[in-house]
Amino acid sequence: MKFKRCISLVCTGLLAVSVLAGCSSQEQPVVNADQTSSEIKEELVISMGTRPPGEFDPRKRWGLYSQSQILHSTLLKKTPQLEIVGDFAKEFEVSEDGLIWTFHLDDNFKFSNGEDVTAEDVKFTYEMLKEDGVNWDLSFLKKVEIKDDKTMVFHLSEPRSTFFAQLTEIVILPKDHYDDNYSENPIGSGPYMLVQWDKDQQAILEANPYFHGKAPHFKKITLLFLDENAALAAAKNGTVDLIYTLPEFADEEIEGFKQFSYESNDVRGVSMPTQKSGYGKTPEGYPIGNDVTSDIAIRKAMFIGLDREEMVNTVLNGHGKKAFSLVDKMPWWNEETAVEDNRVEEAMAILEEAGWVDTDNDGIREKDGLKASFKLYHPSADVVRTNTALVVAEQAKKLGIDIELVGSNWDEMQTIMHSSPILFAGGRHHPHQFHTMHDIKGAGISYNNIVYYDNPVVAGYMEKAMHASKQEEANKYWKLAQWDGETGASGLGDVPFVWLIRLDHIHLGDARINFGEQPIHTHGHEWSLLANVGEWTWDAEATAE
Amino acid sequence: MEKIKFLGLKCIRGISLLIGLSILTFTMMHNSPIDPISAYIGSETSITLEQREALEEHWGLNDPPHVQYFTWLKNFIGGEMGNSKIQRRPVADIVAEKFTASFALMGISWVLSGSIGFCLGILAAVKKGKPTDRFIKWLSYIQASVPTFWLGLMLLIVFSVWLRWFPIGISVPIGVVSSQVTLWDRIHHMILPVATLSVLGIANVTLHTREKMIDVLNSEYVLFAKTRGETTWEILKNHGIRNVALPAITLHFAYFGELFGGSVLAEQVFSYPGLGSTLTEAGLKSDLPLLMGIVMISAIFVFAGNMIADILNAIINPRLKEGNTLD
Repeated sequence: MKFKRCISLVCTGLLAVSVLAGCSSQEQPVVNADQTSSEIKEELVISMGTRPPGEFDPRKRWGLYSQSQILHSTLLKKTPQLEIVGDFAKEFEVSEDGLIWTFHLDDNFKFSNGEDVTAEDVKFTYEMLKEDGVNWDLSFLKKVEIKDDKTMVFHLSEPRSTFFAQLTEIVILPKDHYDDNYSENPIGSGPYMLVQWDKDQQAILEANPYFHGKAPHFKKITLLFLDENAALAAAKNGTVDLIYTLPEFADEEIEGFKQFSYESNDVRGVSMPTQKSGYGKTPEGYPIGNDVTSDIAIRKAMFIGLDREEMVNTVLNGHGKKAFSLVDKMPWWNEETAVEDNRVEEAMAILEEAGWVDTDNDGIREKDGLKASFKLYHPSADVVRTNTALVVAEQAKKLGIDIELVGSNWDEMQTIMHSSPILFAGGRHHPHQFHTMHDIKGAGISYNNIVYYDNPVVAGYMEKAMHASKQEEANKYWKLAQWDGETGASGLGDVPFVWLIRLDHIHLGDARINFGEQPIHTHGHEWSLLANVGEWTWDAEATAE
Repeated sequence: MEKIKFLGLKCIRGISLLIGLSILTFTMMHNSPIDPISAYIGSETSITLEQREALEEHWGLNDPPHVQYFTWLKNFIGGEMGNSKIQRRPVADIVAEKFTASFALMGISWVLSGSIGFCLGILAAVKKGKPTDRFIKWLSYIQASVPTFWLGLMLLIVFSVWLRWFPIGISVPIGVVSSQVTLWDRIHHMILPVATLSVLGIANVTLHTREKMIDVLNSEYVLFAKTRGETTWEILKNHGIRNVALPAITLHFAYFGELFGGSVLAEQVFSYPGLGSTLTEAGLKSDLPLLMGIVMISAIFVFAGNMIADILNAIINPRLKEGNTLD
């Protein structure tokens, strides 16, 4: 009998503990639980991906995806319209030959520990990153010279117009406080400072008391590092105020939440190897070339014959736009390249004219005994890319092109992407990526120019663009490189890639958050929205409707 | 003397196991199709040949594999585990940090599942054939067949999303600096993952204890005790628990390996920062130093579990002791 009592005691104890746990957890101040509508909220809890991209340290790539203005300041910055304006360098000029860049520094920038931001800090940052040489290519930077307290001169060994982009991305580091543990204590001069970072869990940001600009409305921002499913659960349980989400979760209804959707140049498309098989091998020894996609008729037919609207509606549930190039909507985009698509008849005429005819009536065209058939690889873990590939294959069938889908992974795809089309992606706030993806120099190294596109005319324009000393001039040549009326690296010209859709970046968040003026987002969904977090406000009257 | 020999043999076996394991891990990683540099860069295109070469040089990827392995081994023996390629900080720091979190989780679950399982097993044996026994058996079979991550998800949906009793994940309260985090906060965040992980181990111990206890209760000395008028509780206290505890403890120590696997899954579900998520990432991104570090530490952990079980057996079990002296 004693034994029974013992067991029941244990059970009662356990029950008591669990009930207690329940009660006290309800007493705990849950951060955002059901505020009254008039309350002004000055703290936010956000979930954006599973880790801070680059861990707050530019040596680990912090800054590559529009995170430069959260904890730090930069020499120059981008407006929402993507114009380049001054930040720590309030004024700047570039010499005619593009080799000497002069910056006139501001004098009221302070780090979050109260120390002044100086020219020495800037010099240290650029020299350190050049030396490191891993994530930032600064090999063209010959010398950083401090003329006086307020003036710096950067000497380049060759003109480089895309340096503008790096000037907006490279954050200024404190010379005296930078070491291998900088990620733990990233002192910067931006609107926020990092108070605490629990790895893989959360980062707590508070307003930087020494910030030179307008103090941000939200005094404290907590970033949770949850995966998409956990983030959605956290939003439903009322733990977070804002999450980023995928198209398949975009239409989830959460009380008090609204869908915030932003246009992006985060493009998806099909890479089309431009060389014939037998062209050779990449530096890593992988084969190059494809006999079907190297025929320009096939590439052109795909570019104009596919129905992008249908893809946006089916693959993205309407949360996206048609894409025609890698640089859609950017200041260096040649708008002529956006053509009318879904022109099936015309696409078939192009194929017929080039000799691709279905002689054996199996629905697939042939030319000189070669079937218009190729494999399309896609990473099967990526839902958007997989679904896009499915629709592409379905639509290509109408044109008489047979696409065999291969669900794969990046490790395998890296070995075949120079000889087989893959479902590719891209999109940046600068034209550098356009350059590396179409320049024959450096082709085959990591994801640079995987199609081995080689057009000397285009290369010439890109060279001129890189050497331009003014943005306008550079943009003129970037546009010519896409289409100069006769040739170009776009759908009008050589079609090295068939770009298809641009994703909208979707977030679910409290309807009362005002995200200010957002620039068009880039590839890399996580943290894009946070680029201007210092300008966010709270609109107590806003509702989910 | 015998004991020293016994321990010595165990240690040699352990060391050879570690060396074998490290060679196996290294070979597999070296031959895996994952290119660490591409994995590190992700699906990016903005890397030049110079940048790539700088990385290869920096990571020592240009050395032949055996040189890489022996460099690693030499450093590892010297207590230096190297730097993680992805996280760019010492592997020892990462492992220490993650292992503390995982260890607390696993330790509590281990104790809980052991004690609960043991109690349930005894109860089932005492009530053999009665509804209580059938219920416990039924529960054990269910526990044994339910996947950890599924159970974790169910607990998460019910207790976090619907009832909102427990947090959705992670190990500390949201937005609170660590100086203000109380012990209760930590316990509160640990309850669901611990519950998930404990359930995994209960069935094993329960069924095992039940069988053993039934054997004991059917033995002649228990029959004798009953005739002397001892109550059920007295029989359990004087004869049962002592005889059953040892095999249960041995079994439970040997269960370290499974516990480790379970914690990887539980940590994923509850976004709990432990070795599990770090291990997955190290593997997928081909971060050799980090992966080797975690694999070694886990192997030592599991090996230690088994070794403790063996030693306990040797020390406590009188029959083994006799055998030792008789030889």
